[in-house]
Amino acid sequence: MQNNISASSLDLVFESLRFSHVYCALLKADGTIIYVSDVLAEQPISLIGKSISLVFDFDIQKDLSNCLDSNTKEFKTFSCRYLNQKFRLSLKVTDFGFTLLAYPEAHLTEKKDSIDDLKALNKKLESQSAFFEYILNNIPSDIAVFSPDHRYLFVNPQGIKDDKIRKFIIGKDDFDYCEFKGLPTTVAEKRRALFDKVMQSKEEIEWEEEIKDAVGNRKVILRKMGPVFDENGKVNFVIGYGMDISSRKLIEEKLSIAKKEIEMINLDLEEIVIEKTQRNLDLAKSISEQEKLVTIGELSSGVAHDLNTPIGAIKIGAESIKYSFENLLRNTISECSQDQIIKACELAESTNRVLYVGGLQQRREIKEFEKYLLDYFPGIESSDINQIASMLVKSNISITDTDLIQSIISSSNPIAFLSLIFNLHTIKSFLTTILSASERAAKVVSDLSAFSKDHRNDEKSVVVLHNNIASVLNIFNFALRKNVEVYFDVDPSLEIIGLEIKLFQLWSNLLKNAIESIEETETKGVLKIYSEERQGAICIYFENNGPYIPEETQKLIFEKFYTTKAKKNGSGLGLSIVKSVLEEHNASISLSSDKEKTVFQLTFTR
Amino acid sequence: MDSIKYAVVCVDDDPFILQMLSFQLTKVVNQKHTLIEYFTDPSEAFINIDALVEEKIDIIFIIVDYQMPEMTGAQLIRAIKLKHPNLKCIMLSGQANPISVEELLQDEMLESFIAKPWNEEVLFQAIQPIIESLEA
Repeated sequence: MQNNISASSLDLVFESLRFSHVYCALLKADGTIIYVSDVLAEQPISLIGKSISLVFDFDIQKDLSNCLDSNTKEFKTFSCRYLNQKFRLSLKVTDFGFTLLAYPEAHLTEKKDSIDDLKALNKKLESQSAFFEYILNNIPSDIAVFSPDHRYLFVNPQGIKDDKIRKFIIGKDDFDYCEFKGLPTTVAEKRRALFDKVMQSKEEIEWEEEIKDAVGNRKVILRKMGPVFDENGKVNFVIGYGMDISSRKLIEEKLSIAKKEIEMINLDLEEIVIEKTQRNLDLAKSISEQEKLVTIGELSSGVAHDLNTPIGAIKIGAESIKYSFENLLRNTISECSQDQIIKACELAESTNRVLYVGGLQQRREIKEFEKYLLDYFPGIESSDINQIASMLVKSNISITDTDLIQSIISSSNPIAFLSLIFNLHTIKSFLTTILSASERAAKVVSDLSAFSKDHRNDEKSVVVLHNNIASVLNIFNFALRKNVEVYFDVDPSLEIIGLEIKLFQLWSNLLKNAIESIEETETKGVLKIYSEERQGAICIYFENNGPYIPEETQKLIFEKFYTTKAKKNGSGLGLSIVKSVLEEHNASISLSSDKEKTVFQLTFTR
Repeated sequence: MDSIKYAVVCVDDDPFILQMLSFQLTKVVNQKHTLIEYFTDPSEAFINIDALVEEKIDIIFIIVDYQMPEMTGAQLIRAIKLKHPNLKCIMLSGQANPISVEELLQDEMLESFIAKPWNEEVLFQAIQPIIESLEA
């Protein structure tokens, strides 16, 4: 071979070699590829100039020199693998290097019975073609192949079921088909238009077709039609196929209905949510109303208790006055002189009220009087001594008041006189009781009315903080007395401009909160309320020895509905009310809590 | 003093109540042999009950308020009953915790419960049988 052999003539040589299943390469002496036939490499051009060891697994320098027959200057043939195929290689030394010929080993053996092989191959092809035909005929899609002038080249039985028509249609078009079936040409026109579209755009198109099957069921067919090009880019033929998507369509339709339904439900839900939100708002409002009711409930039970006692005292007072009066009128008064009556009245007027005297103390005093009487008034009948002594004690006459005792004992009717003194004393005492009891009742009522008066339209006025807080403390007296020690030390001179009723709400919520916190502890509750003036601001402190409030809770404590007191009737609005009232009064609240105490600091800026 | 055999004890932190009781009790209790003692402070009452018992004075009954500072009437009654199981107790209250009263009644620690405000008759109905059983 000459160096100046043209590449194209080499191509021809190698092409012919390929027909005899020989693959070859031309190599330089160092193994660099000058030319390689295409079977040996997937991209033969790219291998030119590279080492043959990239193709076959050998080292040209080492392996080949071992194989070189020093006599013939020819290489012994040897086996080598390439792409999982065994090759027998033969190298010849040429003037430019080597010529490498490669025979696939499998092919070498096959060639022996190549005729049998051809038969087998033919059979194989036949079976393959049968396989594809089977697929084409049984695939659940319509398949039709058209020539570029829209004539049928092939239709599968799914496309046209009738064998006769299927055979008839080959080489014909849809217009022929319409004529054959006696149908209007509308379908054919439509199909032609689609076909033209494919031919023009040279792209696959798709559309959906609705038909009725033999039994009248609605069917939806998804059709696609696309060009197949020849090597020059011309449309060789057009393949059309259709798929029954009725069930998919059905699902899609169901989905779309479901989607619409969901949208409707969503709309409904939205409405429900809006409604619920409104209801929640209403509820929140009603809870806040309920909160008021609870407060009113608590108040009224407290008020009932605080009113019951003075009312009871008034009732008993009235009864006992009636009783004493009857005593006076029935026996005593007629037996006493004018002077005695005046004296008894004076005594009753000046006497200190004694509500009750314990039996032991009374006994002791009576004993003392008995001794005194025996010592100083030996003339008294011994049977009268005890009665006189006991009446002296009950009339609250002191043993040191010797003049009075003298005047009583020395009178002609000491027992009647003493009875007069005692009864008037009792009347006076119970009158005082009635008076203070009614004052107490009036105070409860006035505190309550201040508390419950509708101040909605009230304008802000000067509020003396001390009095304002004291009113609330009185209202909560019943709850506080239980087990809370209260230190109340708010400067009476401190005033702010505010709404009394709102401030009542403020204090009562703080008080309620403190009482409830204190109830959680074992130790005796201590509540301190005190004030401080700081840089023009007024600070009021509510300090209790209730349990430590963790920091996470501190953050939440002023949130609406937040409550830790699940067992109580707390709706968690209390401290949020506090916050809103404070906002109205340009005031702020802060909270500090440790194991010893929890302090709410309210700061009113002027 | 020698004639004194019995005592009645009243415990309420409100002096008004004690005054009312004083007025009502003196009507039915024979003070010739019975002392009527009044306490506003439960712990003072507790100590004095012990003192009376030591003096061999028989306490006929005690009347106790529920809501008091330091301790509730229920707590006082339980404390007394622990030492003097036979002592008869009457509770007089307008603000009692129904649960603790119920518990007291279940534990047979209460002779009767009188709600405030009370009528003289109700009080007398409660204490008359006790006094009569004493005299019999």
